[in-house]
Amino acid sequence: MTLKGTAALGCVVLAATGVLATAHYARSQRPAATAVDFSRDVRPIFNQYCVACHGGVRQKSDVSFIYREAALGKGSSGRATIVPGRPEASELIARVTATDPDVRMPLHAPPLQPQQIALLRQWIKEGAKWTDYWAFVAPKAQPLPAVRNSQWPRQPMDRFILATLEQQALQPSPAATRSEQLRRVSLDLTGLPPTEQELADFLADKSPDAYARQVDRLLASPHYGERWAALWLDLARYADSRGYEADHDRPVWPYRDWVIDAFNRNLSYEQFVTTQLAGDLLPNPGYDDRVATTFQRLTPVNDEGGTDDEEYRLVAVMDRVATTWSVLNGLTMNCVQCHSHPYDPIRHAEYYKFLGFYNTSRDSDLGDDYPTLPVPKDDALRGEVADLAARRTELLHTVVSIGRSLEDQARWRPLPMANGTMNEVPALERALRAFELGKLRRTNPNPDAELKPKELDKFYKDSISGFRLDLAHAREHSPPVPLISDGKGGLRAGGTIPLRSVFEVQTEVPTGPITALRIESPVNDAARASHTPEDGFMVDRIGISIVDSGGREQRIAIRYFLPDAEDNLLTAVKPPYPLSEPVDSQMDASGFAANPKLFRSRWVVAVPAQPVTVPAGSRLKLEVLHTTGIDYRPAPLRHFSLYTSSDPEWTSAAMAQKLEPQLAELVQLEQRLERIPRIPLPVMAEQAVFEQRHSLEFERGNFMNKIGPALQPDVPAIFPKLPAAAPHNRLTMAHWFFSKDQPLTARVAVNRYWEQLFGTGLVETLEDFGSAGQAPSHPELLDWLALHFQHDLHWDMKALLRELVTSATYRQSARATPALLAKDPRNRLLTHGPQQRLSAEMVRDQALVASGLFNPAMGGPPVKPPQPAGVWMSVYDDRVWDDAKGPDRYRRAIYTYLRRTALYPSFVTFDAADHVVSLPRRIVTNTPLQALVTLNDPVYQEAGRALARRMLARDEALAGRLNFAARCVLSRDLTGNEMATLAEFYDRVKRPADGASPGELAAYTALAGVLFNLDAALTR
Amino acid sequence: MARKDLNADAQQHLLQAQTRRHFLDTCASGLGAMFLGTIGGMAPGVLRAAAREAGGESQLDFTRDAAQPLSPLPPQFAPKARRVIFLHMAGAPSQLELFEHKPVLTRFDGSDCPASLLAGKRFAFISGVPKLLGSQYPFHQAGKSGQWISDRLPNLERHIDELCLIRSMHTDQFNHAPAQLLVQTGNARLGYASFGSWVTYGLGTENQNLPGFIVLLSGGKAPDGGKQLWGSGYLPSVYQGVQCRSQGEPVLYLRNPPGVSRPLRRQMLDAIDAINRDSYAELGNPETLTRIAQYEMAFRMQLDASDAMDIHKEPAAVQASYGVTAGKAGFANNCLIARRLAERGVRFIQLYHWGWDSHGVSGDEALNRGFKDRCREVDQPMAALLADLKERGMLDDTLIVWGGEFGRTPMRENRDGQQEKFIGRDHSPSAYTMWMAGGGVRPGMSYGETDDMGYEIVRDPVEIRDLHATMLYLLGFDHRKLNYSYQGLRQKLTSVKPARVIAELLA
Repeated sequence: MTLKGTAALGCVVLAATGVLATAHYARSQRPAATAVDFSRDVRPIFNQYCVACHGGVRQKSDVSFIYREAALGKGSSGRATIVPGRPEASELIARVTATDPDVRMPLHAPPLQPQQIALLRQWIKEGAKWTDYWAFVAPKAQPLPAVRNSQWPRQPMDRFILATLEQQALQPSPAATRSEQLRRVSLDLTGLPPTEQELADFLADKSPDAYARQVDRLLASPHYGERWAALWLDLARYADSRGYEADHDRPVWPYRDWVIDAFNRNLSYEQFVTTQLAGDLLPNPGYDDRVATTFQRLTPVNDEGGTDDEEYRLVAVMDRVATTWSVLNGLTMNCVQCHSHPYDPIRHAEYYKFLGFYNTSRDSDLGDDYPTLPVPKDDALRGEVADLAARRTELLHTVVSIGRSLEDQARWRPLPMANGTMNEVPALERALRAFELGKLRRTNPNPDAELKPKELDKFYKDSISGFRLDLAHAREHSPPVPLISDGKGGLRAGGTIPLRSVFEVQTEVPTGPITALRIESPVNDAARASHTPEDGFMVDRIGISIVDSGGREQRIAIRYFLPDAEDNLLTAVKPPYPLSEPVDSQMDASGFAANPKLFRSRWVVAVPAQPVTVPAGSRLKLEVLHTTGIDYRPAPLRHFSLYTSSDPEWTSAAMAQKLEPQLAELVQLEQRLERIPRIPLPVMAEQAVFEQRHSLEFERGNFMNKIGPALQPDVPAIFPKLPAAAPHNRLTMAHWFFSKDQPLTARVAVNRYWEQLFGTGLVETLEDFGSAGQAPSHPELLDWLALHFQHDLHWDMKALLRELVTSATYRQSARATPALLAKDPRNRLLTHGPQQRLSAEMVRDQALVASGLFNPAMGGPPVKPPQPAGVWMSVYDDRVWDDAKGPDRYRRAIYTYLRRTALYPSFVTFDAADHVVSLPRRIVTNTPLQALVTLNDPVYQEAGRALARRMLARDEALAGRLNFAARCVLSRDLTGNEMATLAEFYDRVKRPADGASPGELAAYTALAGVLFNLDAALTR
Repeated sequence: MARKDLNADAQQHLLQAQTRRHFLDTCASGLGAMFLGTIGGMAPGVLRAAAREAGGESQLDFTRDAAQPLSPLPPQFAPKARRVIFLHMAGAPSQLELFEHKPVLTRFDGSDCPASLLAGKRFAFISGVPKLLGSQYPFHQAGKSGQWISDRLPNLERHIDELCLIRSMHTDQFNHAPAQLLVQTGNARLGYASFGSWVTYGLGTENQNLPGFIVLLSGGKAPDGGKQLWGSGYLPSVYQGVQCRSQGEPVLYLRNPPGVSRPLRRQMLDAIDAINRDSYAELGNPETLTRIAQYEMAFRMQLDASDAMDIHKEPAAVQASYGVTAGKAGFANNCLIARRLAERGVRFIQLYHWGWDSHGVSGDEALNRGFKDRCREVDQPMAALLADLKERGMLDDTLIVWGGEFGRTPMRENRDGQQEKFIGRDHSPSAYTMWMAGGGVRPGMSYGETDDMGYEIVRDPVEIRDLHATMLYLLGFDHRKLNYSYQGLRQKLTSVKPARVIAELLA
């Protein structure tokens, strides 16, 4: 790790990364300009000395230097901060030159350097021209620079590198050896070293296009997708678990496989990204388009008991905003959550406008990850399940549309309720009965995890005794509690509310037939609830009966329930939980909930099989059963009203024909899905228009305190506008990032590839292209590459990589002379080829390939290669890490189970991401703990032994065997010195001072161990 | 290149790194000079005023040689504490059963909670109208300082005159994982750098053969926030905490595998070293030099870490004073290890003891059951640690911090509207107690005060960022100066809201 600041304007160097330092290389390339350039010369001064107090976050004394109109305005002193053309009239100059320490800016800090003040003066004198920061201006076409050494470039991009070198009177380095080139390009493109055979083939191939053919082979390898997916998974904060306290399993590997496959199919970057952002909104989205949207759902989920689901829903939404901007544009949009951007011209409200694109997805931090896409565990069933899922989507939509239009057109009469009761005892009795029945029938409570007979016995014993205790307690302490009239015919529940309860209401009914009964849970404040929801509720069953004057009850058979939205309809048609009562016994299933929150009034319509006429003197009885609650907390209907309709349409044959077959098909479809072992993959799904949440500005980022009007989703004004006719939705937003004038998407993408291949980005701060990030080392090259990628290559990722790795720049030797190091210690000018440490994944994968243990199987559920005992010990989750036996021990690193709270330790040591937030750049470290991993981790022991066996199996002398191993591990033969060192080592091991000579296998294993730990093995 | 030259190279790098720490604006009247010149005798009030005026433009340099990312750097100004032992009681122990004596609450034990205490509150589990719950244990005043303490911590009580109790800690998180993240990283969300990683980034560590930030767990579970609690967030990963274990290998992968003796390992390393030197001669990559140094350090760490973690090397009397159990992972063993690590120059030692989440839903999580066991598990070892450090003259420059992630309600938990079978309390972020000792902390005092219910703070609230700022001050930093530029911001442990050093807590 090298933490070095770059000197800017000969003054202050920032701590650590020197992020605020200006464009050292960019400047040194340009001929000395006469006019002051705002972006190059002035903005860095503002950013470094002024904007902390006079910027986007704070505008002390009403002065700010983010926007020109503000900087030209008057501060609270009444004096104009900057008067174009007149430095002497500009308060800015007066303040930076003042001698009184209480007046001089920067306040109570060292004064600006004279040359900085001179720059400011000159800039104002020249008219205080304000230019947008380079990153917010679309890349400009760049001519290929002229170079003297026209023989050297192999690709157009080489000319930019060479031109800079020639300006500085530097020479590029000679080409690397062929084996060095093959090692570098193999690890870079596929993450794996060349096999001994691949190396031999290449060295034997004397044709002029031998290297290009290797590049084609590598780009066509399925391992290519695995290598580049590893990078993308850092950005996507991919993990196999949910995060936070419980950190349970979350099987999302079908998404990981989609990413690998997308790279291998060479989806264009545009399509690759658009599908992940908004695949569900594409016209006629396919199954895989929806799998891709899991990208958005990889945000951590907080399953800890007693959390506020709305809070963590918004945490996820904000994470999506930050991730989208960081991944696609390298901007720190998360800075704008609480206030306007401290450095960049993005206003606070603009953050919330953008948040609007993401605030209308259906997910809401629920334990079941709704909405999900079923993915069969058996790949062969994928087509069938895809069809079922598509049909389900269609049916849900149709039924809700019909139901809503019926509900809308119907005439509803309020049915006032005078009183009712909340009862815990009958709810507990029902639960107890269901469990007793389950015990008799030996019902497995959880279809996803079969319990052993003993576990099943214990489960029922514990639950039933628990219910009995609860029931005894409730009988004594929990009498029926009256529901309270709201004065308008509705009822409210209050006081201490038990988790389980039955609401019982009896009411008079006017004469005349009832064809439908509508139960509504109104919001208290509709305008506010549309963005800041009220408590949710969860009704499990609804029963309706007629009670005559003698108290006899007659059940009303319900033909169907029509919920108001798809989430509830889905609940209604799902097969019931194994331990709930049979649907037909006492009450009907409903699908009536606001889970987890109530954003708008919710309703459900119960349609009786026949129109009901309640005889005079009889009463209508409504029972509402709550058994589950939300997030371990009681969630009854806190407020509800009843309405009836006499419209004949509800029960007409035509209507039955229109609705019932679809409902029946949905139920069947769910039952069919239920029988297929599958995982519920969290995906994106958009709320229907009628249910969309509103987005407002959060005051200082606090979700409980929203201000201003509802905002239409939009992009910040500094960027090009959305297309005029397009709907302001997530898909339009996704396409917008790839629009012609979008200034950053292509730059950020090519820069990321550059960084992977050359070790440092053209813009070093991959995580920040804003004005607080570093300026590009080769701005013209960055723009040229960006435009080339976008317009000539049409976002073709393999084509871009091919050009980069076949460039002369890339193929240079990595040898750095002391003179070069002195002039350019970090090789930003690329006077020599890159030498990078292997990534965490490559370190492991190389050992597997070199030892021959490698299992090339692709995709599927994550695997658990050996890990020290005791790394997993989470609260409330008793899962253990069982070391994989057999070939799963030797899968590529990317398939290793990634648990957020307990990452695979050896990967962490080698700087792997923590996969809880999007990571734009891994900072490479070099530590003793890394040495301990490759020396002592059993994985490397096993690989060492296997490589030793391979060596011993060769009918060769020591030297031949060692060279074989070196070709496997280092991708080359040993040098004479190296050979001598290893031979001497072998001799010493075989002839130890104490006389006990180890076996050949042990000695060769030690030799393999030495090879795996060489600097040459750990770098590429 | 000959080895001698290499060593000279490495020495040179190190020297540069150590002398590179300076204020970049060396203006004589600058803030830096003021801190350096006067900090010894400066009243903290003056410090706060000075810091506020500074505008924060002078910056510290944390640049190090790549080969020595953990090399010690001097703090900004003379520190009171040179290392930290943080005892985190995961699950949040009840302040009302340990330190907060509330006779009025006891008087109302069993009565319905007044609506005024419930209005506007978000609870994890309480619903409806719960009952008030008086303390389950008797309280008394102890020591010369006469501070209130319950009868649960008789051993710790002997050191009450060393303790600085903060009775007015406040947090805004009421769920474990986010609240623990807030305590440890200054932010309730994932992805931020932990306190320990900030300190090792800022100060490095004194013993290069041991990790600079070591974490030890007991109670059978990892804390709710998981390994992110000692993660390095946006800081380079070398600053993250290393979880050591009192069972099995003390540091993962520390031991040579079967069949590899220490002499063989030495021979392997000699061969690696020789070939790596060839590589350096050939390619000239400075990272190769670093790698050579790291392999040597790993070799030394194998011995030193094993030795540091081996509590059986302690005299029997010392082991007995902590109450260690041979071969078991436990809080007592971890406390003794913590002292051994502190002695060896480890900068930040963090112990998590799990099991304080006394909701009353089960015996183990009940104030009248499991809570007693937890108190027994920590009481003697904490007292022994304080005594041991004091005896060795290390308490003066070792900052001990004890506490959980939030407090507990004065109401008895009534989850699902039912009285729990055991006695418990729900999470309460509004007020709780932590204590500090040693390392420049004013001993034998209580700071802050809560109302008669022990529910709301009525005097001197302390935010977690205030605690962090104070701890950093004791370690020799203005909390705003310990920063790292990432994503355009100077990231700080104390984040963006104003934090204050609590002068009253300083000796």
